[in-house]
Amino acid sequence: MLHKFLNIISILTVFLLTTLACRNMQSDTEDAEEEYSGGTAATVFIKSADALGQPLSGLTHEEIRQFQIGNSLNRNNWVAAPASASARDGLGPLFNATACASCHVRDGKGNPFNSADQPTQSLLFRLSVPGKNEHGGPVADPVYGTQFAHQSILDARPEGNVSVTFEEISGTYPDGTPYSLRKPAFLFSDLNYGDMHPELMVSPRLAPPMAGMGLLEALDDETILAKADPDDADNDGISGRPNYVWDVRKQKKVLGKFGWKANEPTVEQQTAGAFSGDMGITSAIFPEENLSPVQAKLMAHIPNGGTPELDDQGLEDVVFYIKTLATPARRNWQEKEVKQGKMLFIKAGCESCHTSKMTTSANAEPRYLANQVIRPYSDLLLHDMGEGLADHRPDFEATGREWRTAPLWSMGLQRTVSKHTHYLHDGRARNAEEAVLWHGGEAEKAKQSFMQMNKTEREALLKFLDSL
Amino acid sequence: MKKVLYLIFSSAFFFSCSDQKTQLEQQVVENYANMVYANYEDAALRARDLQAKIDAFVANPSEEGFTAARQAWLDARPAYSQTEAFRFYSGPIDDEDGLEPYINSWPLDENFIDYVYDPNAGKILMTGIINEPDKFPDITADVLLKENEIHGEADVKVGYHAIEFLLWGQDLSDDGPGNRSFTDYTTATNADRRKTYLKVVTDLLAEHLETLKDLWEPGSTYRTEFVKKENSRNALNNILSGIGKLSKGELAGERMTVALENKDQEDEHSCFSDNTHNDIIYNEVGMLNVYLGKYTRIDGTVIEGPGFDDLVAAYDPAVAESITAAFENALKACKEIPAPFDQAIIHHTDKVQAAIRALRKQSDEVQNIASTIGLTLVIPETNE
Repeated sequence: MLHKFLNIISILTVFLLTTLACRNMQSDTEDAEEEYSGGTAATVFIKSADALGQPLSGLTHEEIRQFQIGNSLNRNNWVAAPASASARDGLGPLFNATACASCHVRDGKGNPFNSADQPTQSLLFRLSVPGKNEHGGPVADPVYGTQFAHQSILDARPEGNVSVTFEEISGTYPDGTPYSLRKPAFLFSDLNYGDMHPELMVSPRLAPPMAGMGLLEALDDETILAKADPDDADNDGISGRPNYVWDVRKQKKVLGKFGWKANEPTVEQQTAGAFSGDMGITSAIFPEENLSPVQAKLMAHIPNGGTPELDDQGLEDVVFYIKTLATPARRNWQEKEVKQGKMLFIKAGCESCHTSKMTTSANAEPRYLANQVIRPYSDLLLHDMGEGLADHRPDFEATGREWRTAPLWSMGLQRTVSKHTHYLHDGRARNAEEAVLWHGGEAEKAKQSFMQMNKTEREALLKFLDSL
Repeated sequence: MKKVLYLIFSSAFFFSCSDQKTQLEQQVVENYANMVYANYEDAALRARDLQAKIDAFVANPSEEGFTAARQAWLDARPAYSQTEAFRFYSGPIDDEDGLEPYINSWPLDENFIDYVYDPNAGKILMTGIINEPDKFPDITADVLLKENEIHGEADVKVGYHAIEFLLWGQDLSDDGPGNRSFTDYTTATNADRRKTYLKVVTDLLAEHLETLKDLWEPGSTYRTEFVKKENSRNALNNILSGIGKLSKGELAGERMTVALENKDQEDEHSCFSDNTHNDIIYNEVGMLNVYLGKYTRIDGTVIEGPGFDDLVAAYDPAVAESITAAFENALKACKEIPAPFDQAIIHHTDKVQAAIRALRKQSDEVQNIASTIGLTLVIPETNE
């Protein structure tokens, strides 16, 4: 009896050891830490609707408090001034949304279209007229400024309405499978401040997820520039151009990292810009209300919520919150089909721009973000994406056909967090497959490789994207 | 042979035990649904009382009537505050079409409603729907709901705090609540329009609470799914997630830590009436109700059945005891914050901090409940 028992134990032990050995062998040949999208310090293992709103695990009690305050300013609505909640007043006069979280749903991507398939507040419209301003950036429409505001507080009038119509474009894969893409056309109407500039350029931009921004900021410029190939010297058809944009704090041009066209230099300026442009909240970085001179004159009597409306501590808290949002881990990354999908992704050349791995700076702040091997699946550089996606609105160095490679990390969680699967700058793609099929320009070759794959392979590649 | 027999015996024992636990779990969920329904019914009844007082006041405004209406608002809060223990798992209160934004959201966009004092200009601004008859000829439920929705879900013009603002006015003093005069409803400018606004938002509140009650009525679609035997593990997970999130991210974090750090006197939820301390206490009472499976109704009757204390005790009575102690300690700490809350965050920070610690401990214990009964639950630092 005892003998038999010992036998079973030894068989079990051998089995266990073998399993462990196999796991080890596997990790030697692959990226063993692949599931840690945000590196070992900034990755959270949660896949619920709360996945994008988690702090880095190492924060101190003091930092957790700051994280909570930042979340509060990010989550709660702002109200028109004056209000009893004086730390939260100063909304507008013109605005797109009343809270960060109205667009960055659960810290994730906004939903571009409502149930009637019309634009929501999560989709904003950058405006400009030909030329460059004194810092090399876009020139504002003389009346409507650099962003269309479809909402206003009670004492002001919104700039107008925006609506969309879609044109279905059908196509077929070489294997005969049909597909359909939809191209949006946006229309401004009910304009309350007269005509727009005849040469107005418009760029729709969908609110992106916020988790992982701190890690992207923590990348050294050299790390990003190492991938740049502005004149395509290596002749692979892929350029990769850095954008250089105006840094208000530094009062000089620096490498742009954030926004659909890499048009913002830091998390802080991006955030202050959104407070100003999207909500009409002033801060140290953008102390003036976001109104054109004509509008400012019309609205001079409207009280503000303080000078600035978001005080320095508040701005610091929100920026801290955003920078310390952890990145969710990969799911199902060890599944055979997902692994095959990753291989196909690399083989098709997607990885040339959607860079899988980078290491953050040794000097990053907060310190948790330093020396992290992160997997954003972006090079943060500009690429010509072809006519189909072009917005024809230059933004600093970015041309009207260029977009920054969109980071793909956490894209598979969008369904759970934001309850939709819209992708691309204006949310036109109804799912990841359509997003791939919209790729053109420098990405045309990679897209063609995807189209040439058989159905099983295409599905594997999409399954890989879903695991990110 | 003896060993084999023991093995058979113990596995039989194991199965029957596990059956018992499954049954108990099911009872906890059923009892929870009963409590939720009764609690929303109480909140709706109290809102109807408030509506009656406001109808009477609007029909014939007087100092006494105004005081009675304020008292009815204060009396309406405890029942509702307890129902907040049923939030944060995308249940009927805060799912995609959830009514929470219409019932209890904050901060209030008060100058969209009525006049406010502008401290910079040192004068009253005659703003808001009430004072803009040209823009808003009629004040109706449709107009208010449309205006509430137009700027997205986070915009606040209706609900408890809108009524509170219309009854108390802005709290401009250090040591007391707002002191709106009842003459705002008699001789003041736009008194009739103010009456209409007050009546419309009160009617809406009562209706919305009744809708919530109906969503939890026995036999309703949501409840039927919720209490299904095959869904009970998921239901338990949701219930615990709800109280864990209220305890930690919401109450300890958003409503207390943020107010404490900001030291902003009006960065509190019931800022016009200075009733925030009661909101906190009754939020905690609500969480304790859920844990113990026991709810005392407004008429004094008690809904009681198996709670999480019983469920945990079925695994480990000692663990249940220590968790119960943590919940009771949290209630004690909340009660020990001196009223009003806007003064406590300045003069009694130690008491506020003690309550924050107790609530965070309580949320750790909620995770402990989950792991004891075999669920995996992570309570986040903050909620959306």
